[in-house]
Amino acid sequence: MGQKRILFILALLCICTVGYGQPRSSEQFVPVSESYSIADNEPAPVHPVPSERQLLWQETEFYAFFHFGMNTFTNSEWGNGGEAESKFAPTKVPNPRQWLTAVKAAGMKGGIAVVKHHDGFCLWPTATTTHSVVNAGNDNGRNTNIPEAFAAAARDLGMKYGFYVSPWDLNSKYWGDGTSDYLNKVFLPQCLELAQYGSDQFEMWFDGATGGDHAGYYGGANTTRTIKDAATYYDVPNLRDTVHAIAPNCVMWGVGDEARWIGNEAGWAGETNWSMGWGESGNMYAWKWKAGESDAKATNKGWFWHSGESPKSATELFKIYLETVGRNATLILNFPPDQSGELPSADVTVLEQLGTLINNRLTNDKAKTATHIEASLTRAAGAARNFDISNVTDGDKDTYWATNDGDLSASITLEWEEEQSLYYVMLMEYIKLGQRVKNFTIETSLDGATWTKQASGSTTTIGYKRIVPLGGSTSSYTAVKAKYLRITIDDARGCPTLHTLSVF
Amino acid sequence: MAALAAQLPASAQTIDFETGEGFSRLGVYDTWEQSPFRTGAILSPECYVGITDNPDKSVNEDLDIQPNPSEKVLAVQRSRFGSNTFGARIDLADPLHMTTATRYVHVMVLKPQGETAKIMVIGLGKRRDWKEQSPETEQFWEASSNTLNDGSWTDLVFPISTNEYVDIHSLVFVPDLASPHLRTSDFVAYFDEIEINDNPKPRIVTSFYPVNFDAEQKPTRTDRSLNNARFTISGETAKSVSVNKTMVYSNQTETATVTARPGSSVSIKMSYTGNWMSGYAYVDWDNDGQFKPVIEENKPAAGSELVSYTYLNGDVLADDGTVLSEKRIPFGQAFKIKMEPAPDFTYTGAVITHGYNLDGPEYVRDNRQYKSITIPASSFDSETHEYSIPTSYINGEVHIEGLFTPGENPDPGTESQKYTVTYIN
Repeated sequence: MGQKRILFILALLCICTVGYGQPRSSEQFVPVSESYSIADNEPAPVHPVPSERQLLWQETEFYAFFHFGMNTFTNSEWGNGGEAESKFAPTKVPNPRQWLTAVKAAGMKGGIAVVKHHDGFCLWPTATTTHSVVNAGNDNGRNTNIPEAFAAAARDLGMKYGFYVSPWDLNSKYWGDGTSDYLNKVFLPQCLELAQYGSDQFEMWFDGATGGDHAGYYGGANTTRTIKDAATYYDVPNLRDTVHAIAPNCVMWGVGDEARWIGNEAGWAGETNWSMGWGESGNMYAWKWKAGESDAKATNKGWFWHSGESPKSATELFKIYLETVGRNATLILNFPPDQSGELPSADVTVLEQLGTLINNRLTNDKAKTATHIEASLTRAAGAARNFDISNVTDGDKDTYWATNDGDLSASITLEWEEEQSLYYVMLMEYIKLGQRVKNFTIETSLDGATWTKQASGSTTTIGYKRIVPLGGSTSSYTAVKAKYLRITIDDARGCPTLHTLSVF
Repeated sequence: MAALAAQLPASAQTIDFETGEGFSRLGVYDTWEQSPFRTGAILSPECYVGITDNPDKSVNEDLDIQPNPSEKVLAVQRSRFGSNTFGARIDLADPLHMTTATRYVHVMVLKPQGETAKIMVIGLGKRRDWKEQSPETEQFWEASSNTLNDGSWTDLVFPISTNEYVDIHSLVFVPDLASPHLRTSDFVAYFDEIEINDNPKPRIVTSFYPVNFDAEQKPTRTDRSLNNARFTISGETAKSVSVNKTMVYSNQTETATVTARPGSSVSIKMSYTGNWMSGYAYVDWDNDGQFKPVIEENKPAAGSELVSYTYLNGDVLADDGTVLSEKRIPFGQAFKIKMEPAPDFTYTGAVITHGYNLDGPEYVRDNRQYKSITIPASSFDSETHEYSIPTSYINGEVHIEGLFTPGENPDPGTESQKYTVTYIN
């Protein structure tokens, strides 16, 4: 599909965003007194709020990263772009279906496949360069088309998918040459080609590494290059616009500016983590919604497969899960396929174990079996919607509990008939209307009169999802005995909202 | 326009609400997808913007300037039903052709006193080589660095940059970059004298001793700060003025006075925490509320209101005596440096960082990008203050930070208590 036809589709999909008219010209501007009220007495949004695309992305929560490519065969993490295409010679035809089946067992909802890393070798038969699978070293390699196979497998398995395509290209003679040739002749066309492997992509991953003193082939120049500003060099606004015209729910990560890097590759987000701002904790005052994604390695060597590597234990990976997905971030966990084009059996095993761990510890929601749940304050209902506390246990993400405007603090109390062993509390704000909660407290009681604070000091923000270990540590699995559980929202930017409250 | 206005460069574009030139349409805009201004829930969005009489043509008697004498200005009603990016949209009569160079959007802004949130400008446009693309793609968002809080006209400057293939077709001015969820009423903001040119400086100055950063901001780091300034008048006991470290900007006008008689000499010494600090001392000789530096041959000229400065506490020089700055040297060969502290400063050593992508993280995906090594003063030649950087460090990008500190020349026999060797084999 040529670029002109794509841009025609873009024009049709463009949404009119403005109110126009003849400009009022008068001696004195008279403000409008327009009657407008929000339907069903819903709270006014606390801005910024996520776009529909960002909301769907955040609901993906937990997904896989697959680093497979030239580096798998050169024992590298960063290549130099001058590797012979013939080095890419998998011992089998790469099997993305095997990758996704394995990670699905861990509870992951999707995956991102690396289809071009910094070395520039493309894992699909792109029209932009011969440095691709078309010149691979064997039939297995020449029959490889990762984006095509990956997308097909994901759809078949009911999983989300997307691609990592490195903006930095050590192979291309155009990268960093001081012109826009790389953008117009290589990178934009590559992104367009990849977008056409499916309009249902959920994320396109743009690594921020850009040149510097890592020498590259650059079409034979064999030198070092760098660029001044990635956003203008890669024309990110128009790249984003073009991809969205084809894949409307595809979040452009990193350089793409729709989701942020959480700030480390160690697999943790801050206990305080706002969906705005930057780094592990975000910034409550930042103007733009940009939730954090944590990228972490599940194996003990590099992002690419290396001989002798082994996966981390399921317990260690579960800790990472709690400290990312459980702290208002998404988690992209890396499992590198080996030279056969498949995940090693040890990785498959640990993924099953992780799935078992998550299933055992974070299902069986005891909030649904509480004999009584009440809120100290509840927002007045609208014509077609209520904000009752029962909404937090109904399994419907579009119903929620809220207080009235101005009520920034409230408590929710659960009671069970019998004493319970409680390990985790999970809370989810109705983030369509913005992230609000600044501080909350969790207490337990055996008699409803004497209360004990739990997880003290770490209960600040909630956001999309917050999982709090009542034992106080993400490393241990410690129960607290209780017949009553009380959650108090101590402070919020606006009236607090919760669409789900779970107790495990 | 006030007396300090700069002449417009030839490439400037202007929007004139007196004549109606420079723009083709006015409206409102909101980036929020569910905004009632996008869904049609607000029935008359065009009524939220309009050209009107300038509500404030007053003269600032303190500065003796009339900040905005215009007859007509643009009014926009900040609706509490819009988002934090709701604003006035101005379609340009002629697209702004962007290049690789940064441009500057200048705009006069008037908001009610107490409305302290920042202003933002959003650019809507398209690739000029993509004929079918909509001209409403958001190309940039730039927030003001200053807040407006005194209810008077203020001149703001926004740097804008895009890919060189971009044309900007519309500008959106957001009067209130804050969530409106607690608002119970709207307010009206005014914009005027919009210019896009190549000049980064404000056209007029509407306050005394203005600063080009948020004067209310708090420090974001603790390793660099000003501790105090000491004034010595004709050799008499120095008066020390301490600094409030909880704020970046400390106005001591009401709390500190330094008195000097005609004919006396005043020397100023600033005490810092941190390295590579610079200090500048100004005197408002004519008491006009502005500090006017006059520089000739890279030094303050006679009568300049910049009267003293220290730059980076000292210099790191190459062996030929030139100050090191963006120097290219042969790969894999030792390189000699020399320390030259400023008067009343000494050095405790230098930090050498070598590798690549020095502005980024030390590790990327477990790959080390660079190493930092602290070289103590005792490793420098005690007489020449020179040090030869080993060849193994000259393996890419090299950054050298001199560790200067107030004091006499270092005694190489004294072990510094400040350094930590960070290099690990």
